[in-house]
Amino acid sequence: MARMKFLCDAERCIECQACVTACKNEHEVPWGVNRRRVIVMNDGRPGEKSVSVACMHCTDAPCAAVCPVDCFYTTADGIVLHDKDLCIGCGYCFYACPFGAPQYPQQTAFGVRGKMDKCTFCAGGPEEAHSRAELTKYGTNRVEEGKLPLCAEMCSTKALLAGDGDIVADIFRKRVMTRGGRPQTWGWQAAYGQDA
Amino acid sequence: MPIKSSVALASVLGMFLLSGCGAPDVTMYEPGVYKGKQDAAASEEAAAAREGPLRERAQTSFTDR
Repeated sequence: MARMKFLCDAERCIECQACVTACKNEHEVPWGVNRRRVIVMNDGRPGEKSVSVACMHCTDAPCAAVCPVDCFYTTADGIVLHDKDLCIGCGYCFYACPFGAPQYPQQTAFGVRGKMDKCTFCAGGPEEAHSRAELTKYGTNRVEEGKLPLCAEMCSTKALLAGDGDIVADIFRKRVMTRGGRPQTWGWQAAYGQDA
Repeated sequence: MPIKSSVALASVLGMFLLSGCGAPDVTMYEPGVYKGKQDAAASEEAAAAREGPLRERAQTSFTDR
């Protein structure tokens, strides 16, 4: 069985923010919510690196572990999704997530910040595939159409990889062997642990 | 005194009858178990069905040309 993963090749990311724009456009994500963002490390200094970050769809997802209403579930191929009808917007998942993936439409107090929103790996949610409800709550369902997340598919430098972990790791391994240097699978240890 | 014992008897009987009220199918909270709507796409069959196309898509999308 495939295990879906994201991997951002920090050597290739040029901080163009196209993945962020593509995600927002594809899923009609409202203002203030960023399912994906580009983080710059050592900004303006030698060795500056950029990494595109979203929900990593962790193996043992901490967001699911702390959710008081148990609205998270994991698909058979490892995509972590949630039911917005159950979410109470408590924010526990935001504090538990090592990647800051959960987002809220309002920056207010407990109970009024709205339903949590996060990357769905372009796999929609627990509504009928391609229905109006799914589009409104979770965005488009590309995985159901045999497509991979748009952020990765349209990445101009192919820095952002998505798909079966074996294929992603194989592509990255070949790159590292070609260019030399140390492999930096940013976030993989935190997200996938032993599975990384 | 007879009145008090009859009241006590009625109370006991009333409590016994009330204990039989209520729904028999009480839902117990199961921590850590997903409570939302079932997603057909989350099943192993659905994942197996999309595995091939997604694998092919990744091979064509991310390898350097």
